[in-house]
Amino acid sequence: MRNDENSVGLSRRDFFKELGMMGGGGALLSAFPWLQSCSADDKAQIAKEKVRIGFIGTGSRGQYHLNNLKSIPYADVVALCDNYPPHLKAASALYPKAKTYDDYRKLLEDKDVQAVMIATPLYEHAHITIDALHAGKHTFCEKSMAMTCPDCLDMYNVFKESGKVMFIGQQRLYDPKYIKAMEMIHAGLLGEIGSIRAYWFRNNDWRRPVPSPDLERKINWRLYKEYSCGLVTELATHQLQVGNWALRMLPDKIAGMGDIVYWKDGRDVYDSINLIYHYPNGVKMTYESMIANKFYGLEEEILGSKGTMEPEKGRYYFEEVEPAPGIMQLINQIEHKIFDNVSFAGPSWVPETASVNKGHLIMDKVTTISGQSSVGAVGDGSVELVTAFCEAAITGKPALNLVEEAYYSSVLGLLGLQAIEEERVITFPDEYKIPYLNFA
Amino acid sequence: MSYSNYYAASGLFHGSMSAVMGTQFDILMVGNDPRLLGTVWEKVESEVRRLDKMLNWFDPESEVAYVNREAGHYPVAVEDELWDILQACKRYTELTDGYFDITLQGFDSVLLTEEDKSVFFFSESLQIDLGGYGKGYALAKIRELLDAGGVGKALVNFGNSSILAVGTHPCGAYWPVGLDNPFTKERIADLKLCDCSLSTSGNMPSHPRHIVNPHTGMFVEDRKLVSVVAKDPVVAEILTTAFMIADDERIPVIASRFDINEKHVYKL
Repeated sequence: MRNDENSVGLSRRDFFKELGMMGGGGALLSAFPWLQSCSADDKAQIAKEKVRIGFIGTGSRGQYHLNNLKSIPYADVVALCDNYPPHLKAASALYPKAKTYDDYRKLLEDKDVQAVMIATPLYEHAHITIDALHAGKHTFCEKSMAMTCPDCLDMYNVFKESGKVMFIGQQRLYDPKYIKAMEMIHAGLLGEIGSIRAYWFRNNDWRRPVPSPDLERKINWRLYKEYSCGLVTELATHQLQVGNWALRMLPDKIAGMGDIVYWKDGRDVYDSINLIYHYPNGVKMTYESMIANKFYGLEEEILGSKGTMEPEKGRYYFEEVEPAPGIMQLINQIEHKIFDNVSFAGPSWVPETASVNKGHLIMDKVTTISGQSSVGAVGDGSVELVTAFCEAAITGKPALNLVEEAYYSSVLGLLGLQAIEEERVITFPDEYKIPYLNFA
Repeated sequence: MSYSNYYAASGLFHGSMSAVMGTQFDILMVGNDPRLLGTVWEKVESEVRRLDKMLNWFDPESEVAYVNREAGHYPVAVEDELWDILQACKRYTELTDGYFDITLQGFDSVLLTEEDKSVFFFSESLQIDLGGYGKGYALAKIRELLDAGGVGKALVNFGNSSILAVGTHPCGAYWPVGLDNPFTKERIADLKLCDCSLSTSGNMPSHPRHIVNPHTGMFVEDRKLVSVVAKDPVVAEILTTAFMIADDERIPVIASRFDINEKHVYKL
C-alpha cells in the first residue's frame, strides 16, 4: 500500500462546506438522509467519547481502514482479529496496545469492544455480522453484504431487530461529488434520464502474491466462487446504487452474461461480465466490467435529454448549449440561497468553436480515483463513511436508509450473477424486496 | 440551439442560446410559474433570433447584409425598424464626437432619405457593422418582453459583455456582478446592478486588437477595459466602444451628454 493512499482527504467540516450546505441543504438531505447531521446533544456526546472498536479482517482493505481510523478522533481501536498471522502482525504494528485474536468469536466476547468493523473475505461477511449484532455490537461490514440474497436479507432483518447501528462500506454514499451530482440531477439539470452506462475496467490479474501454494485460495479468495462472487460483488455493487440514486427507483428486471475471457489461470470467477438492469419506467442501466484492458477506467455515465453526468470524473456536459462561464455558478448560488458576486462581466466572450465538449466540473475541487487500486483511494468517501459510523456507534442512532441502500446494491449485484448463471431474465423476486423506494 | 431548465426549489428559470450574434445568450428569470416563464423565454428567444437575422452583417440573408451589398450602388429602402436603428446610430455618432460609428468611415458618407426611408452609401467600400449596437438594442427589446410578461427579477447575460439586470437577485438588494481583468483574471470591480444595464468592452489577450478608431482607421491597441452602467442598454453599449477609442480628456465630455449611472475606464 502506498503512503499517499493512507492519508485523509477532506475534513468533515470541509466535506459539508464543499457541498455548499452552509447556506442550508434541505433538498440535499431529503435525497441523502444518511447525511443528516447529529443534534447538538449528540455532538456534545460524540465530542466527549471514543468508540472502542474491534477490527476483524486485517488484510489490505482492513489496514486501509485502520490507517484512516488513526485520524478519526472518536475512534479507539482496542482489538484486532485475523486468522492469517502476517496480516494480524501488520495490524498490530499500527495499534500495538490493541488485543489480538485469531478467532472472531473470542473478539465478540470481549466486553471492552463496543463496535466491530469487518473487512474479511466476502464469504465471512454474513455470519460474522449477524454474530456481532447478536453480541450487541454496533457493526460496520465491508461491501458487498453477502454472497447470497437470503444472507443479505438475514443481515438486514437481524440489523432491524437488533436496534444496533449497522453500516455497509459503500463509500459513494459519502462521496461529495456523488452527492452534488445527484442534487444537480434531481434539480433537473440533465432533463429526463434516458439511459445509464456504468463500467469498471482494469488490466491486471487481481492476484496477490502468495507465500506458499497452499495459501493460494486463502490469499486470492476473490478469484474463487467458494469465497467471492467476483466482479459483481467486488466492483459492480459500488456502481449499481448510482442508477438507483439518479432515478430514485429500483430495477424490476435483470439480464446478463459472464465469461472467463482472458485470465484463464485457474480462477473460477468471471473476468468479463455484462449486465442489464431494467427500471419500471423503461430506462436501462447497462453494466460492464472486464479486467484485461483499463483504457476507459470506471464511470457511471448518466444520459439525460439535456445533458450527461460523469460522477466518477466529477464532470457534466450539456447536450447542445454551453451556458456562458459563471452562469452555472450563479444558478448554484441561487439554489443555495447564497448572495455573492460571480465574475462573468468582461469583454465580449466568444465560445470556443472546437467540437470537443470539455464539460464542467461538478464542484470546484473534485477528487477522482483511477479505479486501479483494489485497496482504496483518497477522497472517495471512505473516511467520511467510517467517521459517520463511529459517530453513530457513540450515539447509538443508525444512519437513515444507509442499510437499505447497501442492501439493494448488494442484492442487485447478486441477481446479476443469478441472471448470468441461469441464462435468463430475472424479475426482481418479491421475497427479497425490503421497504424502500418503489418497493415500499 | 437552445436549452432551458426550471429549478423548482429556487423558482429559477434558465434559458440559454448558443451561436447568436456571435456569442452566447443566457437569461435567468425568477418566478413561481414555470409555464409563464417558459412562454416569456420563447418570446425572448424568437426576438433575439429575429434581431440576429436582421442585424448580422456576416449573414448574407440579413437585411444589413443586403444594404451593405446594394447601398453603394443605389438608394436602398429599408424596413421601419432598421430605419429607426440607423437614425439612432447617426445621432449617437454625433453625440460621441464620431467615436461610435457603425460605418467606420464617417456617417457623412451615408445618405439617409426620410421620404422613402432609403439608405445610400457615397462610397462603394462602405459597410455598416451593428456589432457594437445590436446586443444593447436586443437587451432593450428583452426588457420590454420581461415587463410585459410580469417578470420582476431577471438577469440577462449576452456574451458577458452586455448584461441586463431587472429587479434584484432573489436573495439580495441588487444583482452582484464581478468584473475580472482579462489579462490577470483578478477581480477589478464588484458592480451592483438593479434595473440597469452593464456593458463592457476591452482588449483581451486572445483578441488584442479588434476595435477600430473611425478617425484614424487604426486598431486600438491599449490594454484597456471600459465598463458603463446605464438605464438604457443601448447607451451603455455604444459608450463602451466610444470610451475605448476616445482619449482620457474627451471621455468625461462625451459622458456628460448621456444619462449614465457609472463609468469605469481601466488601464491594465
